[in-house]
Amino acid sequence: MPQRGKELALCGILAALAMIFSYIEAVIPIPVPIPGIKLGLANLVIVIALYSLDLKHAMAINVTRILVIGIVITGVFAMLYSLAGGILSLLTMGLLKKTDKFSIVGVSMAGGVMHNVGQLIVAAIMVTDFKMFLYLPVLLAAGLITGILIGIASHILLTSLPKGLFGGDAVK
Amino acid sequence: MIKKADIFLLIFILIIGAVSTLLIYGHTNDGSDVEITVAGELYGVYDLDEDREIVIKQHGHRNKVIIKDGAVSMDFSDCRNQVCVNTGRISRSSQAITCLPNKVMVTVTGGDYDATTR
Repeated sequence: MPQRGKELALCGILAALAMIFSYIEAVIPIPVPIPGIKLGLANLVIVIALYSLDLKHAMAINVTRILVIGIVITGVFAMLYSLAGGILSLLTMGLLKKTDKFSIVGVSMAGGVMHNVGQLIVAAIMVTDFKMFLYLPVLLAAGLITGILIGIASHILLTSLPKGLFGGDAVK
Repeated sequence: MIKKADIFLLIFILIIGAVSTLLIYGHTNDGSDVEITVAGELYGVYDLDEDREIVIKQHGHRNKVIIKDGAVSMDFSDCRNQVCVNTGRISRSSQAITCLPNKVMVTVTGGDYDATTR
């Protein structure tokens, strides 16, 4: 199969997988002590995509997932939050990965934190009230923990999946 | 698997978290008033020590705020995620309950809020 076709097919599969994860989380909420916080299983797919493909493809997968899930399940307002969080998070992860100084856990950790920061910024703008930033400490901690968990899961997945799965050379 | 830069990043984020926590919650006390805003505009100010129910109706949305025993909680909201209802009861100055879908925000104000440390 030509390289471009293979990449396209992979993006489609990963986007579908990310949507399924988003759907599962929307339908079966995992009980966490603090309201409004979830694990973000879909981000597992995004981190895998960032490491096995590249930033461009991961971004395409992420934006596709958020748009479809937003229209079908969560609604337009939730979509705006997700979009801001998702894009800011992924740009940060892409940037940190490029420096080559951070492991996948560190990259994912920063991604988790920035995901919540992005959502908070949009929330503050939408409610036009900067008291929203009262939630910053809670959201920082939550992003940190979920980011680390997703990072560890991504590391385990990338090291145990067969090497040729994503077209060979990219997987380390 | 974990690199040195990861640890530095973790510590950096933890420091930001600690500093923001201190700035926000470090010098708050029991509040005296409840301030409700809808879409950023002031809806009303209520006494935290006076038990009452406030129903906020706007743009077809409905929220019910209950003030009881010196604490305020969101008793009902017709929003989907119910984050505001699950926030529970708050009573300390500068704590807040937010209902993002209905753009309703309930903040505890007043009390011995120490303005000199700001």
